[in-house]
Amino acid sequence: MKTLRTFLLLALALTVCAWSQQPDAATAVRFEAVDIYVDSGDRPLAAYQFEFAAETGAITIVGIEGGDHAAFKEPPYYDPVALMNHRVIIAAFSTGPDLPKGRSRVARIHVRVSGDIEPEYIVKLEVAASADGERIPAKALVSRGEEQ
Amino acid sequence: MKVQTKTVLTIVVALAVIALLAGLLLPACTRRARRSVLYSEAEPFPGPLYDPVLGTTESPDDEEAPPHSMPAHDEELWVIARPEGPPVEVDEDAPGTGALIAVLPGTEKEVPVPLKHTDVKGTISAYVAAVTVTQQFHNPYDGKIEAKYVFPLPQNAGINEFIMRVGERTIRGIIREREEAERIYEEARERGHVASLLTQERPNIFTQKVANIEPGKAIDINITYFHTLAYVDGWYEFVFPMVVGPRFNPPGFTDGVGAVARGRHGLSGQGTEVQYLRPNERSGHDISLTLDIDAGVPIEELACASHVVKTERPAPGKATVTLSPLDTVPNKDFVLRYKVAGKTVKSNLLVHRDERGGFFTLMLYPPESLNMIRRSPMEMVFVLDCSGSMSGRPIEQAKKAVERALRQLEPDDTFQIIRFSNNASQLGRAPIAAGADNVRKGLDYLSSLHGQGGTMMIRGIRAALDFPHDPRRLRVVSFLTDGYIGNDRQIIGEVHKRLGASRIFSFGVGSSPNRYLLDRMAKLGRGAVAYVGLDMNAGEVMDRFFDHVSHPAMADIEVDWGDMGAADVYPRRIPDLFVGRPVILTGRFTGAGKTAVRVRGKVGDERRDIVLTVNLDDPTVKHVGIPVVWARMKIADLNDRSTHDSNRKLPEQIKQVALEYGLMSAYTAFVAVDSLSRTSGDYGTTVDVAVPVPDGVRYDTTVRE
Repeated sequence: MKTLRTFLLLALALTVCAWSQQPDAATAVRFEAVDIYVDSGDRPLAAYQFEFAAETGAITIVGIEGGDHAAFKEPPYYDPVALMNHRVIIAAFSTGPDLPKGRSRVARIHVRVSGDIEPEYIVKLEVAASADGERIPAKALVSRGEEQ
Repeated sequence: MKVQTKTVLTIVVALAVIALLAGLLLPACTRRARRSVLYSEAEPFPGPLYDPVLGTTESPDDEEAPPHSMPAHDEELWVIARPEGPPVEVDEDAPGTGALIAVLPGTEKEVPVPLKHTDVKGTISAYVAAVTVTQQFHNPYDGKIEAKYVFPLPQNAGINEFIMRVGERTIRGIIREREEAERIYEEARERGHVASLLTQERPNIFTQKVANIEPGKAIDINITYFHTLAYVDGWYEFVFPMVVGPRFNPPGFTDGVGAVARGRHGLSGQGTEVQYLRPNERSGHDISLTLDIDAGVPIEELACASHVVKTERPAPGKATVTLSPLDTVPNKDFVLRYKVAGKTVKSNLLVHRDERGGFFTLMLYPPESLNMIRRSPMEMVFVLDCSGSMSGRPIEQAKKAVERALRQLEPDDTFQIIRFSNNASQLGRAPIAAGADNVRKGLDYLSSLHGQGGTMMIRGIRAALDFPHDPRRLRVVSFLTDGYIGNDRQIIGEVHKRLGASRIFSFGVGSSPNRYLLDRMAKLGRGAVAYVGLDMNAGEVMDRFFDHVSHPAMADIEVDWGDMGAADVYPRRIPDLFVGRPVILTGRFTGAGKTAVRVRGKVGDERRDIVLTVNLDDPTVKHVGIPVVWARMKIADLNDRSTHDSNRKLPEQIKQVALEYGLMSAYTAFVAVDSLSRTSGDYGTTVDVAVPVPDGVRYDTTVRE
């Protein structure tokens, strides 16, 4: 009985100690990358515009990187007005002859995540266009980037 | 048995309390200990503080220099108490555990700095320049570092792009409220991510920080900005500043820009601090610059008095100017001037439309007829900066300019010479008639002046603007200074408060004057600014100034924008037009098609009109920089107001404009974080990029050792 009580008290003390060392959930901060893909099927993708936000969780965008394909390698532009409303509108175009087809990563968004709620990212493709400016059917996908 | 149980319980509770306290306190101790070691470079260097300007010596309390040591990446370091023994002597070139130091033959020693190279690429279309500056940071040490660099850009630069290159990857920085950006940067830095932060300390002084640069690695930062060129006496002028001059801060002032020797971080006690290389030191940091000009009309002449350049002329209206590889030390402003064809340049409106609406800039030239009218008698007040930073070539240039001016005064004019350094004094109690004898006395007084002491500019301003004005004469106050002060806003506020009927003409003297201060003083003072470089003919600069003031200005200007639907035009108060000095207005518009813009003003007692026909629908031209120029001028206007208006909404308004247009300001900053790559260990030592003192400036009279 005594042994059990001693053990319980020690366990309690260690739990309290471990809990006290945990970072405050409200101030826990980490950084992660989110990859944005556009799948334009068999049509070459020359231009796109999408809106990106987090449905849950508290995020702050801290950097925007370009994509995999040479046509979208340079970091795309963002709309600073949209950024003031906790979302970002990103757009890019390429005038080169070599354009990506199928699923291609067009951008990578670096975010700061605060709090312990896992963010759920949403991306809404507003437009995708071919080299002659024609709208093409396409879809956008989000995927978490992997640390290097 | 009971006693035994109690004893066990007491021991258990005591253990729990110890464990709890250890859990709470040890991480804090560890954090504090890490800071005490790893921030060691950032602590003020506690040596004897001799102020060469004030001539005082302060005795610091602590004579110990903290050791510059770093733990290994996977090492935990706990420091519970400071050592009592003598400080460990370490090489100040080695902020980490070692450095690649090259000692060159001769007396100059090459010191390692984390900024290797700056590349500047500019394009000019009409009178709008777009410039991209690439700063190549690297880590020459064998420990991880954070690089910090205080550098200048043109005072009217609208910075709207910030990009960080890490190896093959390129990350666009994001504009944020300054405090938020600083917090994000700190968090990223502490978590080992490569990150960068760009903040504005003055409209022409910026701080770049790059965190977690690993040994041998390089990180490039690209900054892009737009600005309008000045048009001075028939020449367009492009300026790229390369170094921040050493600023003087009045006693008790802490929000200034300090000037300290390399490795003496924190010695100045100022919010911003620049570290300078000693006279026997040089860094490997160099600069390259290329400028493509498309003037739209034939370029008649190009001149660069500041640097050695190579010029190519692919077409009559185009030129490519490249800085010579023989002139790559970044220690003076690059100043390129070019003259375009035509006897007089006509007023010129540029427009741009996008989804935000229409934006325009108008370069408004004075009417030619101003040249025909003579001026009325003047009361000339020369205010000469005789502080330590002016000693040597700068003050000689300033004295030559004043001498030339004194010889051009007419008998009906009066004059006064005021000098200031730690205090202000003057030639006479009241304005002196410009007769031959008095002019000779003025010249004698002038020749006795030399540079020494602090820059208490506020005393010079009060002395120049406070004495009673003779209403029969136009009072012209000419400030001749390098503008090396840290309390710019205080001076601008003082000019606004005391200006009265005076007009201020500021003369920037030296190779890297504080152009923000000099421009703002002249604008607020309804005058103009001119620059007297060390290699220029100071007399000729003064002759051109006399050309301006020898004819009346077109004043009280109003603009009827016709069907343009113009709004939000800056500057809100249109400056007077002097001969050879156009002004740039920028605003928004809603109109379309062709319309007439009518500019009305007074020359003496006569009314004058300038009529411009403008086409708002020119589809051939796009000037993407114009919205940036407009937003930047709006911010400058709000910023000027904030120097004398206590309205608390002004900072918020500046912030809103800057965020909406993605622009740098005092209240916004650019931050970029690479969240994917995470470096190991703590973030290392902060290393300031030490810079040379500007060409012609004496180190011993301006920099704290």
